[in-house]
Amino acid sequence: MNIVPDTSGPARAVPAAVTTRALGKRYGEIVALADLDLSVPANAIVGFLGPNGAGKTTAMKLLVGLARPSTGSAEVFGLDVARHSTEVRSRVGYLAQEPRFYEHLSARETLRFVARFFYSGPGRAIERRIDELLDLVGLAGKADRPIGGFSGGERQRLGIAQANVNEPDLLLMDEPAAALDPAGRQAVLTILERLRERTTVFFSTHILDDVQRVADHVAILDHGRLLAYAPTPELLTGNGATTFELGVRGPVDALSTALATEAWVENIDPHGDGDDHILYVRVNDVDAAEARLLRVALAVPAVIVRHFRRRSFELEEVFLRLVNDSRGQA
Amino acid sequence: MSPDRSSTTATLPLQRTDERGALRGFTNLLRKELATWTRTRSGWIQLLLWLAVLNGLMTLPLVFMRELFAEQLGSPFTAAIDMFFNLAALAPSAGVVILAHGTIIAERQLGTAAWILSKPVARNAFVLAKFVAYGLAMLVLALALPGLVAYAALSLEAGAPLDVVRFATGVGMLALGLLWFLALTLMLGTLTSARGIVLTVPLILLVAGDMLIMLWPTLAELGPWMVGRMALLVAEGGPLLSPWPLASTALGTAAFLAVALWRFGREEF
Repeated sequence: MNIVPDTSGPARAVPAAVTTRALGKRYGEIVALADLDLSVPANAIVGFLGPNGAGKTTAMKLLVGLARPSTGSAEVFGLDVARHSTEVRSRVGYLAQEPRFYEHLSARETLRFVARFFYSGPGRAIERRIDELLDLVGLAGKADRPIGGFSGGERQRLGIAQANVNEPDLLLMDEPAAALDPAGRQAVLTILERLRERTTVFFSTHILDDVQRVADHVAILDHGRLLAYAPTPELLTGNGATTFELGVRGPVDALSTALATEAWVENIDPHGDGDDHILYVRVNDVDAAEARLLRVALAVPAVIVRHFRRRSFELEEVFLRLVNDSRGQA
Repeated sequence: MSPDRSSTTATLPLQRTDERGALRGFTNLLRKELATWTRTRSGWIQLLLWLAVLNGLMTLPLVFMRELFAEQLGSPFTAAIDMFFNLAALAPSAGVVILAHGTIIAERQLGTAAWILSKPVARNAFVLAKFVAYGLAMLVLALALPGLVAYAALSLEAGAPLDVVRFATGVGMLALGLLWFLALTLMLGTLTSARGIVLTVPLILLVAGDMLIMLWPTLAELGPWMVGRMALLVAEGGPLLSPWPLASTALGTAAFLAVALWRFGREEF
């Protein structure tokens, strides 16, 4: 699958929430992030995927001003993150990978402390906002206990709450479900879906199912480089290089030869043995393929078509293929 | 201030803070830093400690060993005021170094600094809130209140109120020295992650001040080492020997803070 970074598409129709141009970060000889070009449309939920050390956390830290770019630039809602860092942070909510708080403060005190960076009052409205957030993340019952006694999952929930104190226009969440049990994970995904109406969400995770479920865009990084960035459905169907699955019985070699003469066929990948075969036919013109593929197959003598469908990939499959291809090329 | 665009609290709209610029977030951070002193027992513990150290020891020449100190230093009054100013020039400065040496390093290492700086907070505000909070707390608990007790005790011993302006000026001069050591400690905390360095360098400069001045007399004019003696002299009614130690101490404090702000502004998390 030949997926290239996509900086066009929906980003042109809707003002971009995040735009990066050749954004890069080096730590000495180590390239943490290289030439990241992204355009994230407003109100999108973007899943940021990559193995450990891929550059996901670095990218988020650059966006929130905790690190400075070595190359390139980034804008959040049109504001340069280096020159207007404080303004950017006033519109952003950030959840770190391992959120840390003052252990002696309670959850309520922590949220109050964070709220004071954004709001001057009135006190009752701030307290109401804090109550809403505690309810949202299910910490209302533990709101007044010191954080020192919180479990990893409770800290994570508090992290999500504090990132939402200012009703951010952009929510950056680094592994938001990492420390949560399945129920907690489910709750986080539900929260993300609820936030979609008013917030752009950019979250990194190792849990591919989560991305497939809630993200409408997916970015895949490896070794600091962007391997793919596309709307999720596009990525799962092949991003311009759609694959069709053809289940056939009969002389598969003859069928392959016939298909290979067609201009819209990019690649044929036969599987199976004996009489039953499956051909994965990658095409560059979906309309032509839909119109011609079956006809070509049926025209080959002795070939029986058992099924014919457009192939959809699991995200895990796409992810592993991209990462492995990238490492193979390297 | 403008109403929050999408607040769910329709009857009581949240008001966005109007803090801007290089000190954005300072008020909130200062409130948080001061709460560590005012909302926990540490403030009371520090106060009792400094009263015991600075004022408790004064009871030796004033109450328990009057004759011995009178023989050694002329009078119990002289012995007590010498003891207070000499101790107050040293111990609170050592105290502030010990208390503040880990504050920036710990926040960098634990990740709380990164958390706070992901909010709309100016990095200057982060450092200055610590300087103001530690400075204010130590000036009140380790200098002003013990100074007040010392003033009362010494006035009782003298049989008449001491010149309050001169006494307060002397204590104020000690405060200048304390702030120099605090600024130095915070600056080192932004330059290195080694707590040992941040702790020992200021303590060595504090304790070995006399020795350093013997080796390099000009140093007396370039830092806080003479400030204690000058403060005692002023409190006793004597002249201000030289303005240079005070000026250089104030300038040094400002320079240390400037370096701390510059370095912390470049910190990456």
